[in-house]
Amino acid sequence: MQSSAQLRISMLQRALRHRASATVALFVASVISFVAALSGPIYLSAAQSVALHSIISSSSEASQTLSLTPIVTGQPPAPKTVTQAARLLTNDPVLHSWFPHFTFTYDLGGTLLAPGYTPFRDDIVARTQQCEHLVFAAGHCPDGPGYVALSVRTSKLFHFHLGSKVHYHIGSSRVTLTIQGLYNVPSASARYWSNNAYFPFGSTQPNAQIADDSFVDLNYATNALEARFTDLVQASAISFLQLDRIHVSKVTAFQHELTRSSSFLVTHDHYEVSTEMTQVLAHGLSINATMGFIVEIISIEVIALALLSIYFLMSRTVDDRRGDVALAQLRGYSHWGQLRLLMLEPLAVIAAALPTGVAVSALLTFLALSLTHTHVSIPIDTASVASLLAVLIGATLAVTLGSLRTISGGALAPSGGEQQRRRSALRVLIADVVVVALALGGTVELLSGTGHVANSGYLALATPFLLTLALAVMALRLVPLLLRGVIAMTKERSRVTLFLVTRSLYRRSRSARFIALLALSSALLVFAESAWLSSKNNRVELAALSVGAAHVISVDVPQQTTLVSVVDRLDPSGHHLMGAIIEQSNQGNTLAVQGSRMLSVMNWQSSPSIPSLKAIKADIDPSEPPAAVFNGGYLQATVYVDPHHAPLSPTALELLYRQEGDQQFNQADFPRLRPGLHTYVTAVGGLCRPGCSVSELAVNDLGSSASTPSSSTSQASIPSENVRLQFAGLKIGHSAAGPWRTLPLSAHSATRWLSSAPSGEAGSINGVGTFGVRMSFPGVQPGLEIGVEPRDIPTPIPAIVASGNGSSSQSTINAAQGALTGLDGNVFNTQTKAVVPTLAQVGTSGGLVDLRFAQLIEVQPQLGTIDQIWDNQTKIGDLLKELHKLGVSVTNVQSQSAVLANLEVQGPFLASDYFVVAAALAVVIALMSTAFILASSSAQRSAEISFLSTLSISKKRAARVIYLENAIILILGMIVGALGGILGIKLALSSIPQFSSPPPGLTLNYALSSTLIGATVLIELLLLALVGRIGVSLIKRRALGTLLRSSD
Amino acid sequence: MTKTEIEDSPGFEVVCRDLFHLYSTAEGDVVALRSVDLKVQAGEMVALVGPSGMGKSTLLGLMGGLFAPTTGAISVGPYDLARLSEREKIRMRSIDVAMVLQNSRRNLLPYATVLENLAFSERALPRPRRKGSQHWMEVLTNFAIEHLATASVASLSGGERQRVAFAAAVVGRPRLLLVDEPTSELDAEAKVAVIDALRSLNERDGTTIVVVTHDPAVARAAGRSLTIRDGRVGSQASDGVEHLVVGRDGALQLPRHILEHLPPHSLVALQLEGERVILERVHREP
Repeated sequence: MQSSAQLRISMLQRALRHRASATVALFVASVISFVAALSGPIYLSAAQSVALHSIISSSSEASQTLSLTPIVTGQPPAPKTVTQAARLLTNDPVLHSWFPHFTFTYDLGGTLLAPGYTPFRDDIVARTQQCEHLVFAAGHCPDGPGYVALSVRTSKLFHFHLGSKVHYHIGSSRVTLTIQGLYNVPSASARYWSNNAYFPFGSTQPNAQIADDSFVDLNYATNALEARFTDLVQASAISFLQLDRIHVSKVTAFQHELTRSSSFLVTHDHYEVSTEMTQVLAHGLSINATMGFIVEIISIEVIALALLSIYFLMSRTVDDRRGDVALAQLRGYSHWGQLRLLMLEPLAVIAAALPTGVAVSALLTFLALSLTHTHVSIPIDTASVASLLAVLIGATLAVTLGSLRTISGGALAPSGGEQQRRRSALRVLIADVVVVALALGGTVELLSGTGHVANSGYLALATPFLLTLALAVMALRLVPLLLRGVIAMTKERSRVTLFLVTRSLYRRSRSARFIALLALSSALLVFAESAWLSSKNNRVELAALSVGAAHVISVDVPQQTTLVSVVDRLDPSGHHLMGAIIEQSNQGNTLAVQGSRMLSVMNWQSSPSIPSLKAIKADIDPSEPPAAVFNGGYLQATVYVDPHHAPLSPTALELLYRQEGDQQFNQADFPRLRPGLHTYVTAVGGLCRPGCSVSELAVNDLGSSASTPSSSTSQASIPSENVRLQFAGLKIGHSAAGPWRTLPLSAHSATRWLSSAPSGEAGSINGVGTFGVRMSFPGVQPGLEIGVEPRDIPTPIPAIVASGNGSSSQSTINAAQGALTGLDGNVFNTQTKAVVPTLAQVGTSGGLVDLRFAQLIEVQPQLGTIDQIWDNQTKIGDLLKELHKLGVSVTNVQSQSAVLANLEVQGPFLASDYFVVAAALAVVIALMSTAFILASSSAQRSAEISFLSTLSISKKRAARVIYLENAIILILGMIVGALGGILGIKLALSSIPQFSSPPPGLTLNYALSSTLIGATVLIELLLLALVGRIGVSLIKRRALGTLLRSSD
Repeated sequence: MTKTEIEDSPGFEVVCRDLFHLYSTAEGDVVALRSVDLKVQAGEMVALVGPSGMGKSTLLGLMGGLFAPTTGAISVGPYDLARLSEREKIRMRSIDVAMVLQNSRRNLLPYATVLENLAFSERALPRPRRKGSQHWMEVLTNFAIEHLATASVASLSGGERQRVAFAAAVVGRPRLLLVDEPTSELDAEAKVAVIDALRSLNERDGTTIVVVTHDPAVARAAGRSLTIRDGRVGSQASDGVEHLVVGRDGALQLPRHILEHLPPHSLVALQLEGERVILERVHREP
């Protein structure tokens, strides 16, 4: 005999089996509720930790270390003293979990000296485990006094190699050390180097003025340092942050403990505890607030949907259990007993769903985070547990409410009649009005809180959900009104199917409230997927905007060749490589690209604020070549020599020119000058292809040395005042016979050659000597200093100007329209063709020009130039090998995919990945709710269909009625859902700071994917077909059963 | 059952006085019972008969405290139902009054076994009154269905299911058993079994039984049958003799064979001669 408890369990099992479909549906809804409740906080917590990791990783060493320095002066601090302090901190469990291992560091401010070079500031660092963060290219870590490790870059800069002796000035003393190791600096993001002075803030290029740190053995610093260095030595104990131990939930405790410990150590033990971690963490927490908004806005939607689903399922289940309740009332069960009876089953199902929900949410979170290639632990913290409990309570409340409604309704007693129905209708109306009012309130709150996440409350967070719900209830109220007209139309027609369907829908308009679930899940699906797609597209666009191509390789091109020739050699067809130069200037950087290759290589997504690549190419790459570039084999000079002031000894003109990209000067010697106006022609050796630039013009006395212009200009045999030349112009041609093209050079004054585009005005020269050729452009003030090497500048350079706010007046390159001190300190003109918010590699302040012009104007860049090769191929291994073969050294590689990966772990972008989880949950809810609706409606209609069968309505037609009816419900739900989703996207996403104020150049892209919506429709239609099929067979069976029962 | 036996029985007496009950519908109020006066002796088995929709089941529901009468008084043993709260009515049903509704499916949990249904019924009782599985088997044995103890309700025949319903209803030894149409879904053989079960329950335990039925066999099995028509107790039959019942307002419901001679709107004259009342039709044009 079974015991009472066994009987109860057995009865519960039978009851659950008896209501298998409702049990499964409730189980799934509960699992989703728990998943939504848990995955949000878990994901948020994990993602916030990841974002913190990202922020900390890219911050300076000072932010990643806890430094402990004894407050002592005059004497070198003993390592033991520092050890004791480190031990104090190590004993603090909170701090120890973040900073477990202390190392000792001696930092000596010094000056690195090399013969013939300006002293470079350098830090000599001695530390325990000093080489752990170094990657040695040659040699090894210093292993004794008198040895040092230098960076490869520094060694190249000073032409050092392994074994070289290097000299330092530390204070007034000079120290000599032997290089024992050469290390590479991996990248600006490497922990030790990040934001170090070695890398200027925000730059991936090393600071040219600062040598890298030099590392020496710790013993050297502790034992061999002379006493006089003491004042210059800073000793400290440093512990690197253990990134993998950081968890966002522990930040507050950490900050509190750090403050407390710091205060204690300063007061009692005279140690200074320093770290910039607290500032970094504060910055991280502010970003995390945005992440919280993004994750909450979607997880609240999913939780609300899942709880609503539980409520609907409970109502349906309780309806099914009306008989049980009636029986309980009949047997005299107390209200509490009835409640227990009703709630036991669903609570058992919910309890069973709990571990599944926990497991699934952990799995989903792990998968979502895996998409970002980030491996973090899955934390279940207080927030997760609180959220889980909240949903557990919410689900229990939904169950309790559904149960109470049935019990108070009186399952056994007859219906309260018309009055009760009216009261019920009034309650539903009030609920609908409340939903609409809440949706409107949330919309207002959301709109008013745009851009201010902190202002957005939970009502705003739930607005997309409420809006869809409001749309659904309004649609359900409108449907009967619309159907009335259709019913009237079908009355006189013989279309039985339509007749039945319209009446059925009209009659079921109240019970069709279930479609709110379908609408909400569809809306959530559209919302989640669109938001995720928007975020994904935007970060891809942002990565493309910041890098410019799949890879951008910074190179050092050997002197015997040029960047352009390297690019031509590696990619003759111009399909995947492009040369580019960045000219760095205090006034803004200018990017010069090969216009002929940019279309194939540059990754530039046009948008409303950014013109297309084609348009940019047309702007910066005019079909006409620059006017003043020597492009030919012969020069023709026309000179009038005043017969009365002609030189006595033989005199000739010489022109110094340089081929583009070449450092060497060439000299063109014109024939001897003769009195009177004559034209002189000289060959330039056919070298000027694609062009040469003028350097100097000399009037040489051929009686003295004429080997080089510099040497020939020192002395003239005729007093200068006796020489008078009238320069009438310089032309260039491809043959000695012409045709000739005028170069924009002219004599501007008696002593200065100046250019004047485009006509080539005449000028005069007095005396013999070397004269700098100067350029004269429209709008440029004359009177430039002699000695500045001339540049042959074309007419205003067409440029695309980058200006963060899209206004050309704010652009550096365009600050003085018409003329400005340009990239290299020379004067040039630009002609702004377009203003864009940002440019790859340049940012929001700078310009884009064609490489030909940039090379013409390059002489002495203010801050330097960076030669780059842009590559649009996904793999660059072969390219790097080819570059190596050509002797081109690679100094840096920027990868669009790496930037993208970095963006993916940045706060809001990382948070938006949670939308994938939400979309997955929405799909499950959509499928489950749709199946539930259809199965429920089919089951409810079995008796009706059996009645139709008695009226000679064929099964086929009955099935058609069900199909059509369900199709209408589905389509209505989907339309309402899609509208709700679109509204949600427009309203909610614009409240996310990242979307409301995107970075310059990034135009917000709301990705409403037609593919996605199409797939949703397809899935639901397939489901309709499947469930409809099952429903029809169910109805046939039930209808038969009904008929049999009625014939008993 | 003799009068003495009835007085000693543990059954409850049921008394209805001037009972009115209205139902509210969209079309207006409908009178289900009007001025019903009725007394069921403790330990008696009474059948309520009459056409459908005349108020029998409503009267049964009122006796079971499922709803309150619109006016009038109704007492079940010590319970004055008009004054009882909902909670007290529930308690009354859990301890003293059991009901078996029409359609045996409504009296049992369809997914549970027979024994589980008995356990379910007993769980409504206060804990001290629960007797456990031994008692359940005894009850099943009383109804000759002990072999069905572990069978699922869904697998039972109509007759078996009805007997299980009785067993489940009386597992708490109620003082009053209210039964609605116990044989409506049964074949002849099953009917006999159910009637026997009712009779034996009444005779063995002294439980007062009120049964609503259309089945003459059930009515015969009851000691007394009351005909409810138009919401009134029209007549009472016992030992094969039927008597009309005069209503509180003097209304009298004539039997059908008399009405054939007295069509509606006929005029009659009454004469009282000693204990006899003579009803005579008057043929007079209006």
